[in-house]
Amino acid sequence: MDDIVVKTRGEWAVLREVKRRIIMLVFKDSIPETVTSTFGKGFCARALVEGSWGFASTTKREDLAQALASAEELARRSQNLKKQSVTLAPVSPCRGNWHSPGVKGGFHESAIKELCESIISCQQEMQQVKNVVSSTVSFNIVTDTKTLCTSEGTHITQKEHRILGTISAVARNSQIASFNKSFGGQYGSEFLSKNILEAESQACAKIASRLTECSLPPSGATDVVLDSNLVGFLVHEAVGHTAEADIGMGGSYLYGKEGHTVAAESVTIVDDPSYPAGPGSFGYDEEGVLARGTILIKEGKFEKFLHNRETAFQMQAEPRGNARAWNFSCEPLIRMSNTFLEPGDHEYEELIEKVDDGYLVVAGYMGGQSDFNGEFMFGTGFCQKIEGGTLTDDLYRGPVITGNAFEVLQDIEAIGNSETFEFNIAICGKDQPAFVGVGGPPIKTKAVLRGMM
Amino acid sequence: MYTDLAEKVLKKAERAGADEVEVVVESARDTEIVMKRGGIHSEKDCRTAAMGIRVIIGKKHSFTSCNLPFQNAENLAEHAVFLARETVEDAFWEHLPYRCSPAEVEGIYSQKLAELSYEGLFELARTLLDSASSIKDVDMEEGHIKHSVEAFFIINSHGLSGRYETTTLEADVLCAAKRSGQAECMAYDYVSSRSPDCDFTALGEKVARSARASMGARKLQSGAGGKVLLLPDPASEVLFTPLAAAVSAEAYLRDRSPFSQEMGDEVASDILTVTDDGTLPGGCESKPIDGEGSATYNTVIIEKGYLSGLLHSEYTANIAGCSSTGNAVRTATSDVNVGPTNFIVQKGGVSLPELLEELGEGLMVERFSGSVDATTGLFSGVCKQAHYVRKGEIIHPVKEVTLSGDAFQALKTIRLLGDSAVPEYQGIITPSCLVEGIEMKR
Repeated sequence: MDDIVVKTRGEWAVLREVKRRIIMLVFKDSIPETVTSTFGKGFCARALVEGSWGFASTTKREDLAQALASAEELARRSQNLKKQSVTLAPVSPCRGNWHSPGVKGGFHESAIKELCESIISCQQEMQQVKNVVSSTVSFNIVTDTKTLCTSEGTHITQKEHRILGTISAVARNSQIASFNKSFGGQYGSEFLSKNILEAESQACAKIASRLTECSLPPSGATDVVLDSNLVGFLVHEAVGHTAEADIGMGGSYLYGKEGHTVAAESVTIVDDPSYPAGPGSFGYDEEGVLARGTILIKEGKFEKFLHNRETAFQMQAEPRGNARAWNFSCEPLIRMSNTFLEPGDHEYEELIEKVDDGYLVVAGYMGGQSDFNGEFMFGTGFCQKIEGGTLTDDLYRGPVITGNAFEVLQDIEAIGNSETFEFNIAICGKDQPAFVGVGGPPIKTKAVLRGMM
Repeated sequence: MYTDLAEKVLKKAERAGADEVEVVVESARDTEIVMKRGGIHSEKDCRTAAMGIRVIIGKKHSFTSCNLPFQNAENLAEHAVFLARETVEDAFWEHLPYRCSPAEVEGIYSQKLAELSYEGLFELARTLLDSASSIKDVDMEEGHIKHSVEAFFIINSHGLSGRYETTTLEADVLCAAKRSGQAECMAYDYVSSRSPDCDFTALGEKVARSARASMGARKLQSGAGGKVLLLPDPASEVLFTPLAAAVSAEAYLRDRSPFSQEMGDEVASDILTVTDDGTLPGGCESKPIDGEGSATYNTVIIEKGYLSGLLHSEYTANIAGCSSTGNAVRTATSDVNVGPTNFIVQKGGVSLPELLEELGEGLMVERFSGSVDATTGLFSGVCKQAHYVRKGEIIHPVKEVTLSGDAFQALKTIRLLGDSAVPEYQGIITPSCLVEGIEMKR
């Protein structure tokens, strides 16, 4: 690949090879719906010619030189149709390799049988929980082996191991209810020894069962404690995306607000692809840039956008490794990695004590949407009434939580400490999927719940 | 098309001990133009090929796939057999589909579209950019035009063999209406076609006009009555995505559907008839065979409000003791699932002005942002592009109005259906729906 890429007739080019190994297990009610093993492999060329991008991909290694020629040809033909000529922020060529920290040998196929048996055992126990009529457990075990070389002389190899598990329980009494949970991170076969599946599947079944007897909470603005998964989702979805330079230049809430206060002083939000063992961690991005952390919001003030090399040049910033591509056939986009709210100094109990009349809101089904202006709308798993600083037994079906993320961040009164901090794995869906980490501690703030009218 | 390879792999898996084998090969060429902030940003030319192998030993099944070419691709057959032995039995497994005649489906391949050149795509992009940038205060933020030529081939050890080719042209546009450089509201839409006859000018102008019309949204000053006019996009998301999930035989048979045990019962308004038609001429989800080679059909799902049919793959049909409806959904790199093809809500005879007249006072919703639980049918979210209607006239755009309810209850309170049906995501084709009983809150 190095020999081909240096022959580019443009000002810059990159060639990538991506091998993707996926083991996928889906079990419904202890019956294997799918046991899948996938070997993906492909190549792509991306070329910048006279300020114009072109991209081509193929599954044939012998066609790689032709793919580079096609990318250059596309770039040349469209050059006069483009509004702006692209220039890349400079980076020093580098040679390196990266491997998921702490993952020794990846996930071995010999462990499939053991995992199947664990899933069946967990589902049989879920079926014993009152009202539970159906359960689904899925595992996506993904190993990416990537090679990248650029016309500048960069040559990178990296291997990323990830496991994403999901559990769904459906219960039926007088009404139907469901509860879902996802879990995982950068793991290999050692994941099987962690007993995460057993703990999460039982919790999921019990919550679904209880929710068959619950109604939605009343609608309206209220004091809330948001659990750490919900905080992670909020920080990623409604804040992080507005800090991506391509979204920012489209007029997002953070456009032109560098140095401005956008959140409470206690709020610091970071995106860090080098976070140790973070679910979204990687060593280098798809433009060959070393991945480093970026402080998005520091003590309430907006600091920096996330960049690829193109927007970094436009906004005179430093690229820090945020150009990511899902697969060989995808062009890199500006993406987050591990995005999280830094912990504060409050115990979990102290957060609850600060609510006189409100709810603990817990993540579950994470459907929803957010807009460029910070307005968001997320589904939740359930909520629990807090009265006089005490968590009661009153459980409600998950309301939709809505508002403007930056107002929610302004209204933060207390942030949980590092003991309460959690990271979760998620798949972000900006045009193409990307594994990301979303995290934070629980927070005490105000929010609008859209429940029962 | 790797058909020889597929046959070799099938034989090899049988020799390795498989009782049944299915091999699928897919190839595709996609060319795509990405537009950002009013101009062309980049172009892609992607060529892929992949093979999938489903292997059954007794009642154990596995699926293995790879991109092609793949070193020692024939050896993948042995890997699939190994994987099947490693898994556990599925007591409900019966057999793969047997030979059948494919459905006659017209209009899914256009030679003219297959031969569309880079220049032709750039011309379409210019048309879309011009039309989406034609309205004051509105910027085209992002858009894509994608052109695909795909081929599908399947064989199994029962002698089943099938193939087809399709062409697709699709485009989407996101426009933002801005005040002082900041996005105030956004509008989005897309079109998809099997032929080159896509009206990109209409798409661009529609999205730009819609974004502009949502500027200056006000909160409702009073209640807006109890009726909501859902245009095709929100109707598809709020009402018919949960319905499509509920009529999957897989959900129905496993008691995950609210309709379980309700076959033949009245589950929706008596004006509602829904079919799933994999043979629709020119349909975006039409094909002569489904993902496991069974013929596609036009299946009546709801007839005048009564639950009449379910979506079946061979697997669920064997459990239920009926025939597959041709709803096995898959790619060469994914195992079989049950899903809709063209999920069609039959049109009513009511024009948009007449729907507004019947609405009287209420909301007309163009875009819904929120969550829809496909299992329970519960939905709750904010209307992002909505207009307050009084005496049949559109008065002003509104903001922050919450819609919530139960999709399965709302199906029973659909009062009128529009006179034109528009394809939306996931193959749902629906007209506008005038619904009572959806809760609205300022």
